[in-house]
Amino acid sequence: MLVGVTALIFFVLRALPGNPVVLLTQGDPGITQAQIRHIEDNYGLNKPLLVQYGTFIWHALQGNFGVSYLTKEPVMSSIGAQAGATVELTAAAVVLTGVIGIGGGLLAAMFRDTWVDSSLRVLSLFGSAMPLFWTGVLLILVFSFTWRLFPSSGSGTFSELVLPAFSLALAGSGLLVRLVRNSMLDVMGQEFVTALRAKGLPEYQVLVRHVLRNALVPAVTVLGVQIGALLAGAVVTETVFTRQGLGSMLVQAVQNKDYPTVQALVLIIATVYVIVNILVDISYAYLDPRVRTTLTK
Amino acid sequence: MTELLEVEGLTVKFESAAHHLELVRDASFEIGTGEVVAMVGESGSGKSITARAILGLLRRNHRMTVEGNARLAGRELLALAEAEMREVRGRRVSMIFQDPVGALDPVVSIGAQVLEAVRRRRSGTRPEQRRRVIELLASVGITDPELRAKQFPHEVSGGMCQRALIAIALAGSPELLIADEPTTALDVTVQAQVLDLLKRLRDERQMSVLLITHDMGVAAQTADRVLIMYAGSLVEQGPTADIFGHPCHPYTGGLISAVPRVDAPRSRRLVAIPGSVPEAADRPAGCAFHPRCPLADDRCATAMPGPRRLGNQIAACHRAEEARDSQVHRWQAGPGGGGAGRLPEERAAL
Repeated sequence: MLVGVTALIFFVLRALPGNPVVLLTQGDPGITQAQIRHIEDNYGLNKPLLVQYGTFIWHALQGNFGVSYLTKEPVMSSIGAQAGATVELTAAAVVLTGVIGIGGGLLAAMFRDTWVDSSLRVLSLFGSAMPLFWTGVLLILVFSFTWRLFPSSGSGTFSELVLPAFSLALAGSGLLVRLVRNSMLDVMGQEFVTALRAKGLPEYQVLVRHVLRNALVPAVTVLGVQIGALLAGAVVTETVFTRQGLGSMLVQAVQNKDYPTVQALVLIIATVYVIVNILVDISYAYLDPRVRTTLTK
Repeated sequence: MTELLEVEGLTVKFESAAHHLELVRDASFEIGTGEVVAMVGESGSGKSITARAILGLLRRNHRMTVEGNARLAGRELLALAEAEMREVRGRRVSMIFQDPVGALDPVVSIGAQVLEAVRRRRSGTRPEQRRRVIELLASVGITDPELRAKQFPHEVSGGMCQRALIAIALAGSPELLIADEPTTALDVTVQAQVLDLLKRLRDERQMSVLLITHDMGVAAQTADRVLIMYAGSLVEQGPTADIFGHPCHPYTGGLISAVPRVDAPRSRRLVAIPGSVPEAADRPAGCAFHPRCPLADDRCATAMPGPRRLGNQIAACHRAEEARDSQVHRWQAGPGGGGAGRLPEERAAL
């Protein structure tokens, strides 16, 4: 799958109009044909595309993604410098998505068919329907300009993290709220829940210890998929909130046809996505002993 | 025998846009201390609903209303607040279920589920509670309880799960155990073991048992008294020997005739009751059983019969005397007093 991603991004990038040499020379009009050829030779840009792709893969496997056309620094070291902010943002958003999604789903299921349930239904619809940049701008308007509670831009401090993380989490948690609610209601229809009540367990124990745990298996699947969406969302969010990070870096690199940086970033995001989904599969075994049994057999 | 549970005029109604149904209609019965009472009826007759109503398990369903009285040792259960009801559940009245695997949480180990019930008593240290879990599992005949406690419901047999559920039910030392079709989902041999276990527990603990079943054979084998339910109403009740010896309701007679008998001549055909149980939505007027009843007359089609006492039995039938007299010969009580009221194949097995 990762090989597919590299090929796709490699060839699509090169199919886009524009010449990276212009970037490399910063559009200097006085440049000669010989100089251009010299630069193309240096960066391997005049070789056949397939050879360029082969070289890229060969170097990537060694952890070498080349030098950025824009900054002339090794791509990996710039990524290393920017990754922290994005990891921070995505991690905060994942935690928030989980808390809002699972908490909201639990509440909606507990108070099914009451106003709590209906308001959560409307909110989650809004959350998933609103485009990310719009949610971001709304949050900035309300919390930065009107109430002046949190800064609208920047990265580094905790208060600068709050709004972007929220705007990312709101988008992802809407779906999760609905999913957790519905799968909890499914579980609540099962006989063992009646049996737990007949045992005299208090309702919150029935719901949190048993029903929620059974309902989490489908929820975790969606949370895993959402992490991919969160990474993609980071690109938008970082731009809206003018934060540092891989997202802003990616946008800049695409705009400037900085091939090595785009390739490296896309490959890294794809890799993270694959790893997260492997982790999700592993977590099934932890959540559901029936999966464990099939695995050991 | 003192009465532990007295149910009076229990009625369960179900309301929805399309229906206004009485799932259980004016049911009254008693269960004595240490007594095993079987409630027999076809599926949909309202047995499980009755049991759940007594334990207050229908309250969450806003479409169901429960009326009448259910007194446990003189204390009204149906009027209790949810928090008080929770104290009754599992400690004074416990319940086990038809599908034992489905009645256990699939993602929690058996031991942890028993432990949860043990912990409700709020006594003892953790190691003591753990020991109690193992004791309970052993007391319901689970071999290697240490291993079983660590296993999950899907890893053991249905019979084992039912034993685990019984262990959970016993954790609070209840006075009454409601067993809702506890053996229906089990193999015949396991079925007999579970029934024996219930009888043993009754003897050891002086625990009362309400055994819900659709199987007259199970009732005859296990119960001291039998309640017969049809289309939401209790149509007959009485001591097991009397019910099987001279049923006073034609439906009871029909159920008994439908039980296959080992000692009957091979040429004898099984007698099935013609027709089927009416859905709660389209019960006929008058006696709900009259369209299927061989004795029905005009009165049965219009007037609903109330319960009447005949000797040791109570039957809700206009023609109970005739029913009793016409059915008496089929199920003569055996001459040796001890075997009285047992099914013939039961006597043969003794």
